[in-house]
Amino acid sequence: MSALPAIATSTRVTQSRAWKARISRVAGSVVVLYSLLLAGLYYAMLQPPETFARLMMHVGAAPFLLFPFESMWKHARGGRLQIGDIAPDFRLPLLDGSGSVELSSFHDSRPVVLIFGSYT
Amino acid sequence: MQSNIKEHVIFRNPTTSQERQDVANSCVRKLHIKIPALLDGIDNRVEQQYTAWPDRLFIIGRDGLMKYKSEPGPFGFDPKKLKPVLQDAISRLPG
Repeated sequence: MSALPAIATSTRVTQSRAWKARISRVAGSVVVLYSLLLAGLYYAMLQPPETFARLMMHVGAAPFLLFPFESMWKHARGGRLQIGDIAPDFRLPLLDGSGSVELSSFHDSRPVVLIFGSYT
Repeated sequence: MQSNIKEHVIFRNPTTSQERQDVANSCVRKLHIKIPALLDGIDNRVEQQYTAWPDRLFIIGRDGLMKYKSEPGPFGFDPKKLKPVLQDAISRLPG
């Protein structure tokens, strides 16, 4: 009779350990999965705009909710140019077809504000 | 994106310069843009040099050097932050 309480206690301890082990395995899997998705999202942010846009079309708003999207985006899309660098020169056509503009043509004349935008 | 649907801005991503020009013309009309608008090549060469997609702001000084570079858009696209840098650049104009 006296052996019964000891067996019951031992069974409860074994079950508790089994649950803890199960929870640890699940938590570990979640951490690994989250890390892989985080790395995948960051990699996608480094891709050309069309590639990134195609991915975002399929995953919707989930990345904004699950990951530190803004911080990741600012880091991934930071770019190499720094304050004080020589601005890369370019010559691009005017949209109205009236000619083209070369950035360096404004040297020694006036500062230039570049407003880059995308409409799709 | 939902904002595109709400604002009736639904275009297929352009794959040719002509398609890009059509989208850009629509943008200029709808947003009443008065400043000169330039069209990047379909190879996105200038966008890549400036890491500018989807939108970004820069100020280039008279000396050709970068004076201001915003954080990447859309989060970093804040025209109000241009003002002090632009005022400083203008104050350095001769005469």
